[in-house]
Amino acid sequence: MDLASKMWKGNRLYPTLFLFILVFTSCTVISKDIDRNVTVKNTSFELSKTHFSEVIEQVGPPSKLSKYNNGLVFLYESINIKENQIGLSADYNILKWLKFSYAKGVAERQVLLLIFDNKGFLISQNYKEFEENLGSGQAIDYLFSIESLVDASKLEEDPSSLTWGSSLLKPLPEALNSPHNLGTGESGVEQLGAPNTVGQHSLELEQ
Amino acid sequence: MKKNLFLLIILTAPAFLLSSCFTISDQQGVDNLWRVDANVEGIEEGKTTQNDIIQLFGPPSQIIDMDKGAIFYYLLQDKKGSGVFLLLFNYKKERVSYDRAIFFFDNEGILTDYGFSIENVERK
Repeated sequence: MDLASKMWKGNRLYPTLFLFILVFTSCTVISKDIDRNVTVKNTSFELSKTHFSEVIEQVGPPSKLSKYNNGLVFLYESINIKENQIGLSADYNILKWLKFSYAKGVAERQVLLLIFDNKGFLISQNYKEFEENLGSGQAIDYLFSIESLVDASKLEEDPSSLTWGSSLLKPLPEALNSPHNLGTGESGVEQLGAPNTVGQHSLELEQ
Repeated sequence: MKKNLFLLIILTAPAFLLSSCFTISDQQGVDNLWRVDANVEGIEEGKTTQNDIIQLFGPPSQIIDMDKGAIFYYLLQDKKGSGVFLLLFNYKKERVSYDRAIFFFDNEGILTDYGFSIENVERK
């Protein structure tokens, strides 16, 4: 009787543990909080009476702002990205250094939009909490790595005030469209993750 | 008994020996000088000018030209993250925080309103 059989008969703990280590390797949880300090939940302002200075006092400066119809628009955004991965590996030749991963991702989002008139008083507001499905991803990866397999790059973009210089080095249609960039505060605002086929971005000829 | 213990160590050793942990830290943007009390004590709506603000906090991240004045928007981005690699289970967490200051000026460059983020970012 070989050692494995003895172990299996004597005590099932070891082979189970051994199998678990070999097969179910590298289950991964990746999470990313973006601007969670924007405390917009349970916030309600009175239309026509609330001035933008009160809003700033209560919830701080917005994630994005822009002039809009002689007035102002504030956009507050908060995102929590969660990705769960299951990794499988096999103790055979080169395969033992690789893992086969499957990932699923979701983004929990909070958005507050406030529009002010030319005197700075609130004329429109909406708060929304929703969950966005980021889809799934599969990969054959090096065993000792933690890589995100779902594409959340559109939600993870840095603010344009930190990237305006490099925006001029983007592909030509995008660079030529930079004066209409929705992050400059001159042309309106947009939520993170908005598709490129709508609004100003449609000029960038990008899918 | 000793044999069992030895086997247990052999089987579980890779999970511990091949484990590692890491941290990520990165700041981008302007220095959040508005968190220094001495810098904000003298700010007064109706008196402080654009020049005063620039002298106190430096060039803003963004200047937005409004029809009735300008907005100075200061932004500091702070990324902090950590992760654990345990072979069986891996974990990575990242947090992106923003420290913001905003100043509104009229056409004559006089401060009309201002505000700071509620949660601040620790200065490095």
